[in-house]
Amino acid sequence: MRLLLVEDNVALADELVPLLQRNGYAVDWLVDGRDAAVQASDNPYDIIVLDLGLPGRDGIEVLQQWRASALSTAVLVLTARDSWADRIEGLKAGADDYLTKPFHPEELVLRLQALVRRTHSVANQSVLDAGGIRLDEARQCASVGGAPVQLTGSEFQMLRYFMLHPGSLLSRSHLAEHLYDNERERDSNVIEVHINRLRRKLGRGVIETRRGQGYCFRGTAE
Amino acid sequence: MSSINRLLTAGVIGSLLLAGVIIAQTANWLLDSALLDYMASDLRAESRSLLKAIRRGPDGVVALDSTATDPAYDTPLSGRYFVVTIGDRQWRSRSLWDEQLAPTGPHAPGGDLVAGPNQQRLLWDRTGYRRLGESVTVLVGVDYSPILDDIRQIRHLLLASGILALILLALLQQYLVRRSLRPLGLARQQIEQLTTGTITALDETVPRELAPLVREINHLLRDTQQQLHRSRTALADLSHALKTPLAVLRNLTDRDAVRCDPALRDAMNAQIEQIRQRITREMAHARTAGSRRPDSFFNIDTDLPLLLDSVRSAQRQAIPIDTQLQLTGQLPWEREDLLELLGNLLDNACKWGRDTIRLAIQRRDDNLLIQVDDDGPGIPEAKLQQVLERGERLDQSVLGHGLGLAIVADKVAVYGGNITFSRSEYGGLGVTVELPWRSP
Repeated sequence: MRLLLVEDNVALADELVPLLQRNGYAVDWLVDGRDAAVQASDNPYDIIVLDLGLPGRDGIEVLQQWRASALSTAVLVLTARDSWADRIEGLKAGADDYLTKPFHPEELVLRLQALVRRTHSVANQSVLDAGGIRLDEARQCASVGGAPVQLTGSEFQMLRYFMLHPGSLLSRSHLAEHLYDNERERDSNVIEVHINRLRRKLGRGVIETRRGQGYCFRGTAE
Repeated sequence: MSSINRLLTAGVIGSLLLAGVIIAQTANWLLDSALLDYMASDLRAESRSLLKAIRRGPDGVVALDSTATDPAYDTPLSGRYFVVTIGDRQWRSRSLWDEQLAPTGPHAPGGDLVAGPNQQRLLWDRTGYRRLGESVTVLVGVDYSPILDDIRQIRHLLLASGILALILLALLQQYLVRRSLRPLGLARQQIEQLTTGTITALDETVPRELAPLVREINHLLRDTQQQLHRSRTALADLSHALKTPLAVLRNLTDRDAVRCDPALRDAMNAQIEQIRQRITREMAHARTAGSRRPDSFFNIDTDLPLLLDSVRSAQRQAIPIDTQLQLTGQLPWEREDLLELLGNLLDNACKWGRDTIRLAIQRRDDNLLIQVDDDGPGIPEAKLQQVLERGERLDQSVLGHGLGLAIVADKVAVYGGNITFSRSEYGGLGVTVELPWRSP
């Protein structure tokens, strides 16, 4: 799950980046509004966390530009501007959610989860349920038929992505783009390794390989 | 209280009156003395012409030849009289009839008048001569009362025209004062509009005398507005600048080192929360605009749906909000203020309500009535009583029920309204806000 964090306060970003990474997001962090305007269009982010009081360009303007250029990525506005007029301004500019500072870290994580599910039209439930697998995002562990399965961070991240796109054909490069941030080496072998580990833990048929095309989440039901 | 109008009127009328009296008195005195002088010389001439009528008769006796005198002396009570004394003989003019002409006192030409016949007032002259070897005294008198009557008439006429002129001048002056004070009245009206926010500066097309004042007021206004703007911006910047570090702090309490000491974590979080609430509340208070510019009014048709969306999105579980609106279009309150007020009321209701929230907006008499009811736990009876008794001021004891309500109470106080809490018909909290209706 690729996440773009646009936040000009270094101390806050220093807290948020590890928090988001712990929760299974591949995080890119930008400080300047102008950079954010460009980078969000160039990279396939799944979700964006946007501060409004940015150097270079105001967050509202950046958001308006994104929406004007038909960028549909879900945006959570994270700001100190807490009046209702500001909130409305944010929603009008195209924000999907609005969270004011200071916030509880769990609140941010929960809202991001809810937002991701909403954009994938998954019902608002506390556990992600697809293909006979239940994924507890808070504890980052899966269960198949009631039997708990422990997952590493990378495995959780990958499984969640598959479960949010059940039945879709996901190419290797697509997975690399959505699972790793810009800093990380995108080695396709790593993806292969993680997929094999998931198959070992959840069953061979969970993820189907389509030679030359990519992978498809089938779940344990079949 | 002193009045410019009264002062100007008193000044003008007083000085006109004083000048009028002085001029009238002087004119009167000049006229009087000129007439008396003229009459006195006339009398002297008369006296000399009578002297010429004294001749030595054929009998050798010096006598007054009455045929040589002015015929006016022969008409009884004609107003011209003489008494000529030669030695111990005396000739009296026929006009005297039976009356006496015997002035006493020191002789002053053009001076004292004596009472003459027929209520006449006589001006007299007594001169002694020597003629034809005899000592002659000629006393002449002339009736001055017709001239006195004329003078009196002139005086009355003068007084009447003076009073008329004074009245006309006073009216003219009142008109001028009113007219020249009118720009002041207009300026006052504009200042009234300033305080309500309908206009932002005074009209500078005023009379030259008023222009510096108006310019100064505008200048002061700009200064104050800039100052207010600077303060608000500074406060907003400060609050924004504080919130990010607070967010950092709150994230820090999530670190393992703090997590393993729950007491420390709770204490830190409590302090952070207190700072946050304080900042939010003061910011909301400072932002209250209270102005009445129609371009920034709240529009129930366009603003409310957006607000409802934003309230819903602020809550993770969305409770449908039942709206009962009896008003449409613009409401004469600042958009931001009403958004803040309604937003906080609804947010609070969403936070505590379970399935049902109702928002009702209507106009009752001269009030805007906003009612928000929910089916949450409400405020316990004891605390509710406490809140009611203290009036609109909410303190920390009910802040658990939302910082939002405290912000609402602050806004309501700024607009001079009322906030009351009750048990809603759904069993939860019912909040009623009444704002006195404002004419835009």
